[in-house]
Amino acid sequence: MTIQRQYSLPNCTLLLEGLNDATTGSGQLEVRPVMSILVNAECHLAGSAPPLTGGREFFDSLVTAVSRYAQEFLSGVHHPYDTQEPPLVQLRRINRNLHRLIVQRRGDVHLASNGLMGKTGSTAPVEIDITTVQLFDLVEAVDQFFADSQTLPGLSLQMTPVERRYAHADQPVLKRAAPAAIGVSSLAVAAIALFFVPIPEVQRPKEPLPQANSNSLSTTSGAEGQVTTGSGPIGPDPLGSETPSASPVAETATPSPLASETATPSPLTSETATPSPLASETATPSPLASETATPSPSELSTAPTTATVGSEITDNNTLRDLNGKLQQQILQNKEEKLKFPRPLLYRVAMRPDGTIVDYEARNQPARDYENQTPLPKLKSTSTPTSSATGSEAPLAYFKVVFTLRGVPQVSPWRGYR
Amino acid sequence: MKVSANVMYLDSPPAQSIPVILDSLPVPAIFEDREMPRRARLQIDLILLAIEALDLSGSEAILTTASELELQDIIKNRVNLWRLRSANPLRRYSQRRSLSVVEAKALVVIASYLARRMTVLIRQLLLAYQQLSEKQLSMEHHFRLSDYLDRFRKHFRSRMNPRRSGVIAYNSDEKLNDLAISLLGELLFCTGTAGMQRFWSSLFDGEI
Repeated sequence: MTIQRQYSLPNCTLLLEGLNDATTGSGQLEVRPVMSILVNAECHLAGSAPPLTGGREFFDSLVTAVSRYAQEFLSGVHHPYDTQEPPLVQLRRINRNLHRLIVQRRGDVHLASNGLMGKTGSTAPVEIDITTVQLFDLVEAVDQFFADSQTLPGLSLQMTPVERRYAHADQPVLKRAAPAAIGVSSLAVAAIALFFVPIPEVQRPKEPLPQANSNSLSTTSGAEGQVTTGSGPIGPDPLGSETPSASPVAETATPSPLASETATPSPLTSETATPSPLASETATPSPLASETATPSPSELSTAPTTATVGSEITDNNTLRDLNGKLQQQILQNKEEKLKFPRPLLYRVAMRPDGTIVDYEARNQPARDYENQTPLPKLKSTSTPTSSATGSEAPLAYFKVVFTLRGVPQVSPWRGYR
Repeated sequence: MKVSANVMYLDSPPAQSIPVILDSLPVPAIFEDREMPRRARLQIDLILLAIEALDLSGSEAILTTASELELQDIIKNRVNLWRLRSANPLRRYSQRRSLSVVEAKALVVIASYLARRMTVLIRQLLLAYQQLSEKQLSMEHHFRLSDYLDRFRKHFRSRMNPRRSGVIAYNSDEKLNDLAISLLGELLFCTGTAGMQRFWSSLFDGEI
């Protein structure tokens, strides 16, 4: 018994005729028996009158080509055929909206001889141009056939993505190699150009001047300008500077073992020589004891390099207060018109009562024009009065800058915290 | 055996039920735990862009369809959707995070469903384009088609990063129209019986 199956779309009709395999089917009773043997396949495309007709071989090829081309249409990646001989049915892209269906005249393809399809005797393949919508109808007819489990169940939709090796094979090698070639050649040009550029001489940064030597600021009283060499206040760390402020009476002299030997032996100054700021409360009165105490590793690790001459005032309110006082003193004592070729930079140490203990020029013009500034006068007037007790008081350090026009600018040496 | 089975059960996270509809889209073996390839991320976003140009309330429809298809666990809300679509490398605010296979599946399913609803319109526009280009007339002669092209160009320009070379390639109205028409053709293929599977499979072309 012949079974007919038809898949109709507006632009394409697929007509299949086949037979039921009686050995597998359960008989004639089925409403829609399985078509398992294909006898004839017809593909009617709207606009091209004679249908494409063929047997199983033609139909297999048609289904494969359509399925494969549909994927190519969606992805734009062409999937070349593996076989040397062109398959019975092929689809090729002409432009975005036109596609060419090519059917070879061999195998079990029967092409009707009437109409525009050419003569029966010619061996030229039939070429039909179809639009995207027609192509879709063809694809849809094939897909409906695939979805129909009662028709040729042996054929099913096989979809596998195209392998990577086909992805950009259509680009010629020359075109693909061009970017790399341009890159390499531009690198070569750059290398040649840079070859003529002289190698810049490496200038080592100049060694920083040792701060300790230029630091004439000392908190030791008694003789003026007495310098505690090697123990200049080169940036006491916060630990070292804060702890003493809690016990302002104790002047911590040289907690580092290196500097402990340079502590002035004068009994006036070495009242309390504490090994570390942390241990200031348990200060030992004799310098001998301090020397024995220092090597303990735990104390070394706490503040190994701290070297403060006097405890420093870090309290913001006090600093602000003193800052104002210093500014006032300088302004009151400075001469009317000052002019300098470069700004002068001084570091000034003050006691909490507002007296200037010492100052120190921090750049060359500051040393050269020292006598034009009110600082020597301020220091000479204030120091003698406090010489006896001066060493015990904590100190505040300020940065004093005289601008080119002699305007003094005062700010805390380490800024406000 | 039984003990280990129990342990397995306890350790596994609360069953993240992946909707059955996504099972119809097979994933190539090497992409099972990888993110989607670059062209796929671009393609999915462009297809959705074409849907939005066809349907004024397209972006709303995407979310509605997501919940109709019970994909709301994957596409939770507008922001989430925007993030997924920003995996498109040409986007103005392209995200570094990539699109997972499940998220891509969900977007493909939604796009195919929306396309199927607009089958008639898509066919009409493609036929109109075909007729106009045969007569060598400009697209303005068909109101609905020029409307679509207009809106697509506007969407594309407002959302894509004009500095990317992939976007610079579409610097003229004609080129963008061509892109819009080819997307319309792809949308038509999505409407077919196996359109969703075909579209999905094509996303991996040249990647395996």
